[in-house]
Amino acid sequence: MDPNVLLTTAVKPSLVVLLPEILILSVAVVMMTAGAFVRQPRRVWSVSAAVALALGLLVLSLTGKTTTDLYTSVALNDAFSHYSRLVLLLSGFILLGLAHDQVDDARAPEFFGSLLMIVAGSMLVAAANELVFLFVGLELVSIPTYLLLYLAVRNTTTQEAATKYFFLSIFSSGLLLYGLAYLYGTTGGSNLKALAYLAGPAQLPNMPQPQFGLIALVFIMAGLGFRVAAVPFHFYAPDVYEGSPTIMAALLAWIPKAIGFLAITRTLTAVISAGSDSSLLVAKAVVLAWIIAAVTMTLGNAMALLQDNLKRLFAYSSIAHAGYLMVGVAVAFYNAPTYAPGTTLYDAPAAQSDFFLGTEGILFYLVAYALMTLGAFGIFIALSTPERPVETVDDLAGLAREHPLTALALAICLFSLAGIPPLAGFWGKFQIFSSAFGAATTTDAPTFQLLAVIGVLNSAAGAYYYLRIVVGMYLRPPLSNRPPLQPRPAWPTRVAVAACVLFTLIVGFFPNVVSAPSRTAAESAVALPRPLPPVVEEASAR
Amino acid sequence: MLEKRDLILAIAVIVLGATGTYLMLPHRHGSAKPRRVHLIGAVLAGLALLLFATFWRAPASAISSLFFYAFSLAAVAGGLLTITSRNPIHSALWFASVVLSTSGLFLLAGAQFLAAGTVIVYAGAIIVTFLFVIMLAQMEGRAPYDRAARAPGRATFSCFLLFWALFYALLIVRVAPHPKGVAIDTDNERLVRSGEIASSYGLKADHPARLISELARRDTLRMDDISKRPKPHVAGLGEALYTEHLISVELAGTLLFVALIGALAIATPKLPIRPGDPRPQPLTKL
Repeated sequence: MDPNVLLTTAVKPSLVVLLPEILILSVAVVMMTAGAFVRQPRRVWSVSAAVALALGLLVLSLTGKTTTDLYTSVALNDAFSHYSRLVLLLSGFILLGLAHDQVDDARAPEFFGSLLMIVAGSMLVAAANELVFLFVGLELVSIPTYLLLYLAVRNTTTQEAATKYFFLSIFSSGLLLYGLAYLYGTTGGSNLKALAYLAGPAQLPNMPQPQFGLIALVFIMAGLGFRVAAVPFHFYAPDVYEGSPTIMAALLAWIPKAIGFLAITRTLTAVISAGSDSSLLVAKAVVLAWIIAAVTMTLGNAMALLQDNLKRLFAYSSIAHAGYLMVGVAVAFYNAPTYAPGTTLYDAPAAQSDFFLGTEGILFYLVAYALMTLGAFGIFIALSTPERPVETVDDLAGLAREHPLTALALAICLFSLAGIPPLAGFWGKFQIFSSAFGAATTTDAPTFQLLAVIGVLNSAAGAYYYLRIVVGMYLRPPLSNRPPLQPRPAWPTRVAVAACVLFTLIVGFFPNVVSAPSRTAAESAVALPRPLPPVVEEASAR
Repeated sequence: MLEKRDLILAIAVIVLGATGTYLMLPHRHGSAKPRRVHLIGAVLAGLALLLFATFWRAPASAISSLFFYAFSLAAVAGGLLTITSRNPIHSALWFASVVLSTSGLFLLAGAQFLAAGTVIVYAGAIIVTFLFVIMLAQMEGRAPYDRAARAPGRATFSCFLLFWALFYALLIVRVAPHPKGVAIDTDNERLVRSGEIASSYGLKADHPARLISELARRDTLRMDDISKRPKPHVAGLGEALYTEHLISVELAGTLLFVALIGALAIATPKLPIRPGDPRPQPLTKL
C-alpha cells in the first residue's frame, strides 16, 4: 500500500483515538522535565495531574464516536477499548486521590508524572490492536512502576521489594516478547484483528500453525501471568506488597492485573478462540487456563487464611482474585461467539444471549475488583499515620467503636471482596461462575462445571479471612497496648474512598450499569466484520 | 509425526547436553572443579552440539551454509561458555561472541538492519556497560558469589526441560520448500510463511482472508519506489517504522524518557536539589 494512503487511512484515525493518552503523556513528560527546573509544592503537581486526567476524560468522551479500520490500524476504539479506557481513567482519579499526600515535595513531579504515565500506558494496552504497540503500552506501565516503587519511600525493605519486582518484571517481559514473536510468526502479521480473522473465520486449514500457536500461548500466558500474579508467577506478590508503601501495593494490586487480563483478551482469547471450538489449540488453551485458574484460586485463598499482615493478606487475596478472573479466561477461550459452518464471514457474533460470555465476566469483575480493592487499600491509607501505622489485622480491632463510618466502609469493601450479595463483588463472581456453567450447558464439557464448583468453594473459604477482619473491627475491643488510631485523611483521600464504597453499593444494587456495557465490550472484542477492499486514492492524491 | 531416529537423536542431544552443562557449571560454593570433570563436560556438551547440528537445515549455497554452521555453532557454544565460565569478565566476553554470531545469522537471513543494530546496541553498548560495571564494582575482584553457581542441578534440569519442549514442538514443523503448486497440507507439520498465505491456499483475489493478509502484512523487502523498482531494504524498514508503526516509535521515545528520569532518580540516593532550595550546609569537620 502507498505510504501516504496508509498514513491517512490508518495512522491519522489512530492518533485521534489515542488523543487522551497522548494528552496525559505529554503532561507527564512536561511535569517530569519541569520538575528539574522549578520548585513547587506537592499540591501544584498533584493538581496538574488531576487536570491532565480530567482533560483526558473530556477528550475520551469527545472521541467516543471515532472509529478506525480494524485490520490496518494500531489502535482501536471499539466498545471494548472505550469501556476499558474509561474504567482505567476513572480508576486513575481514585489512585491520584489516594496518592496525593504519599510523597514528599522533593520527589513529587516524578511521582505524579509516573502515575500519569501508568494510567496512560494502561489505556494504551486497552486500545492496542497491534503486537508492538501492545508491548510498548505494557512497558509504559512497567517502567514508571519501577520508578514509583523506588520513589515513594526509600529504605532497605522498599529497595528489596523494588529490586525483586524489577528483575522479575523484566524476566516476564522477556517471556512475553518471545511468545509475541511466535504469535507474529504464525501469520507474519502483527495486527491482532487480522490475526484473529486468519485464525478463525477465514477457515484456512493449519492456520495458525498449531505448534507455533502453542508456544505463543504458553509464553504469552507466562509473561502476562506474572503481571496478574497467577500461580506459578505469584511468588513475588506478598513480598513486594509487604515491602512497598500501601499506595504502591494498591497500585500493584489493580493496574497490572487489569492490563494483564485486557492483554490476555486482546492477544489470546480473542485470537485463538476465533477458531472453531474443536481445534487443538483451543483445547490446549482451555486446559492451560483451567489449571492456572484452579491452582491460583486455591493457593491464593489457602495462603491468605494464614496471614496476619494486612498487605500480605491482600496480596494473597489478589492472587485468589486472579484465579477467579482466570476462570473467565478459560471460558472465554471456549465460548466465543461461533459462526455458522460453511460461511467464512460474520459481522456480528451469533446470538448467545442466554448466558454470560467469559470476557464479559472478566470485564465486570475487573470493575468490581478495582472498586473493592482500591477502597480497602484506601481505608488503610486513610487510617495510617506515621505514629500509628495500620499493618496487621490486630491493628483494626475495635475500629467500629471509635470510627463507625470508616469501619462500615471497610466492611462494605470486605463483604464485596468476599462475594456477599448484593454487592459488586458478588455480581462479578456470579457472572464469571455462571459463564462457566453456561459453557457447560451448551456442549459436553463437564470440566467447566467442576471449575465453577472449585471457584464457589474457594470463595466460601475466602470469605473466612475477610470476615475475620470484620469480626475484629466490630466485636473485639481495641488493643490496649497501642495508641488509639487518630486518622486525619485529607479530603482527596476521603473522596476517593467514598467513591469506591458508593460505587460498590451502586453496582451491587444496579449491576446493569456495568453489565450492559461490559456485554457490548465483550462482543466487540471478538467482532470481525468483513474487510473493506483497500481504498485506491490515486486520483485524489496530490 | 516424529520419526524414531529423530526422536532418539533429540533425546541424546538433551541428555548429553544437560550432563555436559552440569559438569561444566561452577561448583555450588564457588570452588574450582577438577580439570578432568571440566574436560568430560566439554566433550559431552560438544557431542550434544554436533548431534544438534544434524537437525539444522543450512541454506542452499555452499559458502552460505559454511557460514551458517560456523555462526550457529559459535552462538550455541558461546552461550554455554557464558554461563559456565567462572570469571564474570569472561562471561561478558563470551556473551559478546554470542551476539556477534547471532548477528551473523541475521545477516545470512537477509536482515541487514537487525544485524547491524544488534552489533551496535548489544556488542557496542550493553556489553561495554557490563564490563564497566563489573570492573568498577569489583576492583579487588573475585567475589565468591560471582564464581559460584546457585542450584546448578535444578537450573540445568529446568533449562533443558524448556529446551526439550521447544525443540520437540519445533522439530516437526517443516517449511514447505516450494509453496507454489503444492497442495494444501492438512496435517499440522507445515508452516505457511508470511508471504505465502494467498498463494499457498490458492485464495482468489477477492477472498477476504487474502485481502486481510495483504492489508495487515507489509513486506518491507518487496516494497517498490515510485518508479516501481524495489527499494533498498533499510529504506523499506524505515518507511514501515515511520508510517504504520509511527505511534509505537513515538511511544518508545516516551519510554526511553521515563527510563532516563528513573535512572536519574534511582541512582542518586540523596534528595534532588532544585533551584530555590536552601544550599546544603558545607561539611565543617573535614
